[in-house]
Amino acid sequence: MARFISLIAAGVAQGAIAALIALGIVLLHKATGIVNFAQGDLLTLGAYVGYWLIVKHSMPTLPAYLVTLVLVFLVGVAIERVGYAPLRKQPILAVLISTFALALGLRSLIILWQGADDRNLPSPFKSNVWHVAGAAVPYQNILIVIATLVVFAALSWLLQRTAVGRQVRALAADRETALLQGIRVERLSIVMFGLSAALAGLGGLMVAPTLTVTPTLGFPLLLASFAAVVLGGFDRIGGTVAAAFAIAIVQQILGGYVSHSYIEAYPYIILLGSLMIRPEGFVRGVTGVRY
Amino acid sequence: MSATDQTQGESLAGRLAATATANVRDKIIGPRPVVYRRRQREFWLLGAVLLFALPLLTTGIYGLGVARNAMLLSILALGFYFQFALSGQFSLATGAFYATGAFTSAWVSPHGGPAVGFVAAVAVTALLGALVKLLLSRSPLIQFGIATLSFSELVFLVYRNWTQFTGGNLGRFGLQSFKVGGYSFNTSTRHYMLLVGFVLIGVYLLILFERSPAQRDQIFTRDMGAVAKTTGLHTRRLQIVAFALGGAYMGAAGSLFAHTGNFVHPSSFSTEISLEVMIMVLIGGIRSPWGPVVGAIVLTVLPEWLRPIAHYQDLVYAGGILVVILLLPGGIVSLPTVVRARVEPLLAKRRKT
Amino acid sequence: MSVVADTRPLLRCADITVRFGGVVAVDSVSVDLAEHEVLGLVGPNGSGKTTLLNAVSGLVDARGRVEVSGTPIPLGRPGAIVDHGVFRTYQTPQVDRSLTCMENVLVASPNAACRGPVGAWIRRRAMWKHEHERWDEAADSLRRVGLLDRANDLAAGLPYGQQRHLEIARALTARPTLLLMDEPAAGLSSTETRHLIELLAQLQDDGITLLVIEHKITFLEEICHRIVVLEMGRTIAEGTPSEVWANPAVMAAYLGEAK
Repeated sequence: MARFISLIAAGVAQGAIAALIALGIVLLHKATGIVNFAQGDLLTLGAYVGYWLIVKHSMPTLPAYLVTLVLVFLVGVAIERVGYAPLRKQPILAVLISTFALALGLRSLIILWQGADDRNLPSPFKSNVWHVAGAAVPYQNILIVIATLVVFAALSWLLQRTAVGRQVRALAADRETALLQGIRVERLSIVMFGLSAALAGLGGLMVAPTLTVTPTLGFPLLLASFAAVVLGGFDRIGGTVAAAFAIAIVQQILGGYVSHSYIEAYPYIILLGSLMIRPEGFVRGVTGVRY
Repeated sequence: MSATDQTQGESLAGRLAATATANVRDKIIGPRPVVYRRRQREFWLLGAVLLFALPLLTTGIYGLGVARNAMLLSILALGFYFQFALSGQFSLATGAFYATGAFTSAWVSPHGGPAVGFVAAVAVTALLGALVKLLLSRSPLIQFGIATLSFSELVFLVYRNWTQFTGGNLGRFGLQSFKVGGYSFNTSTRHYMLLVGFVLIGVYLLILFERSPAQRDQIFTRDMGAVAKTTGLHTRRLQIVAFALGGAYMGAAGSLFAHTGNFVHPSSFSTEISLEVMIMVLIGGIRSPWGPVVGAIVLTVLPEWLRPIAHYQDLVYAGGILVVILLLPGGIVSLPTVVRARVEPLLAKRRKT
Repeated sequence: MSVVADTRPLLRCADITVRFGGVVAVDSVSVDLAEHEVLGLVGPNGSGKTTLLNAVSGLVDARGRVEVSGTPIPLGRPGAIVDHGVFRTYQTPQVDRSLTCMENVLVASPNAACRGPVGAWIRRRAMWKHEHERWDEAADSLRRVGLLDRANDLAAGLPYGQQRHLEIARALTARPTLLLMDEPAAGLSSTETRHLIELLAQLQDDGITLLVIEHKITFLEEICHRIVVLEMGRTIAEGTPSEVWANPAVMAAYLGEAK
């Protein structure tokens, strides 16, 4: 029983991180139609900046987190200016590749800045754990889940109740018509790139205490979150979050009870299976066609 | 090669006769698409000479290692060219196909020689490519890219654990070198010559492909998506064929890797290779079969020259990609054309004044 | 122009409905097209004309039934109707700007022999033979729309009107039995429109059935046997051109009176 609880708890925490990254990807995709492959490295950046502020400069936790989020937001905006805005007239493929290039550049800048050695960002709760049903659940994991749920609620509110959110939903449903209706796409893109970057940065801050901080921290997490994004159909954030949790929990359960050497394979298998069966995802979205 | 290809004949008289025939034929048959009039033989010969001369630039303490790498990556890049440049499919599974080709060849060759291993590698990777694309044929561009990434990671995971096929932690060693009759390709120099030969074959096949209806069918499908289906093209089949052909090239490269290095190990393959190859094709040029080769050579040789600033290497790559995308979409290979287009009006102005 | 009567319509669309999320773009529209007929499809902007065409050619998901000469066509599959000789042109000309006019037309050739890697690498002699045949066909189509002298120019360099002609040439090369055209005369001058009318008359003489979406009334009156009027996704009138223009509901639709 204790084993089961700790597996579930690990799955929930892992799913929360994947959900944070996935929310950023889906938000950006709804607003701009592209996927930012630098999302993983933005997470890494968040972890490193957090480390630098808290460990190297002894800044108190909460202000450090805020400063990190602002900085990563700005980097996201920079990515929009360099890798997206100049390429508006070019096919999507060009933008995807430029985000790859920027991911590569970001990673090497991080290495130049902090070196490639392992770093450690301690949790604000140190190593305290919560004992439940015989299992030890780190407080950090609980924080991760709470943070994710808060973000999800905030994003839902943003999308459903604000003008900005309405614009994003309009763009996602039928981009051409939305553009014709005069949505200020330039401004919106900048904000959305920044916001989705900040979400990745938050993910970095949250996950860093549970892993070692290395320059390649973000990429595998990005891959895992892709499964959630694909399952959720790139569209509904609720479906994406649910998928993220589901996949991570299934992964932990199967890894714990079935086969551990292939534990990393489960999200990939789920992703591939999902695309083979239903390429448009399992969550119903709204799409328009224009010829 | 058909007789009609050879009408662009060797002698001047032959050329004149050919032009006369062509003019008459134009009137009877109709205009000849532009691609079919391009002279590619000269470029191919030039390329052959340069490739054989490449080692002179790169022999250092690694001997022919760098040059060998450049040739292997060229073949991978040529395969990626089929998938990416010709049919617009964004795949990050290059490394997985490379590995599959290498291990298949290593596994089969004890039972028939490296040549049989080569054939097996090409067949297996072509089929694998076709299967992957077939199963994912309804996925849009981005999802397909993500799927190939996942597929690739899955393949690497399997190969790391599947000891019977790949040798697991030990890998496979003592692999035979290629042999033709009594002549064995078993020295560094011979390895390199063999690889250059295959690169040239690879480029030549692409040139033949360009001078055939297959190219425009692929390009139209790449650019026009669902609309292409309404003109009667079998887009799904075309995409599967292109993806499989690309996979076949990558499998060939894998087999060549195995039998010129005589050792394969799962750690030699990773997603990094897929990204590198993509960057090579982009920077080298996506509008010409020589692009991938130029890109592979530049990006294999460059790190050697950039050794003093090795830390900034990735930054240089990132910058290079952005420069190509923003300023030079045709890549390095398009540089002469672009420069000529810029310079000619200036020269014309000079002549006037 | 006489209409040849046939027992079975060449194209039958029954109760076609297209939904985009909550919006009903086409609401239970039924249209029949007899062989050798020229049907005009008109209606104010947003009435569902292009969507109906997209539904018939399988580019959007739709409910209902489409039959060509009695054979049902699966909906939502872009390639399906092409096998029955139904081809189309688009409101925005869909030509590949990186290919030449000739190449744009060649892709639609029904001659599929030696067109893949086998033809490119192994059976090159046979490939050349078939290529010459295909070039003949394509050159002929280009000549009919007046683009033969631009055969080897990139489609990117063509003005809008000629891109439309290129699309028509491409559709012609496919040897259609039915040609669906979406606003072929949009943006054309009066001389160009005249050329287009003559071309369409020629196509009719060749036995091709036409369904044309258009706004220009004179154009429609000259070539159409029948007209179907859509508004807000529904059929509101059907008949000969004179009948339709006399219909007060049609006038109201165009002048925008509230229903």
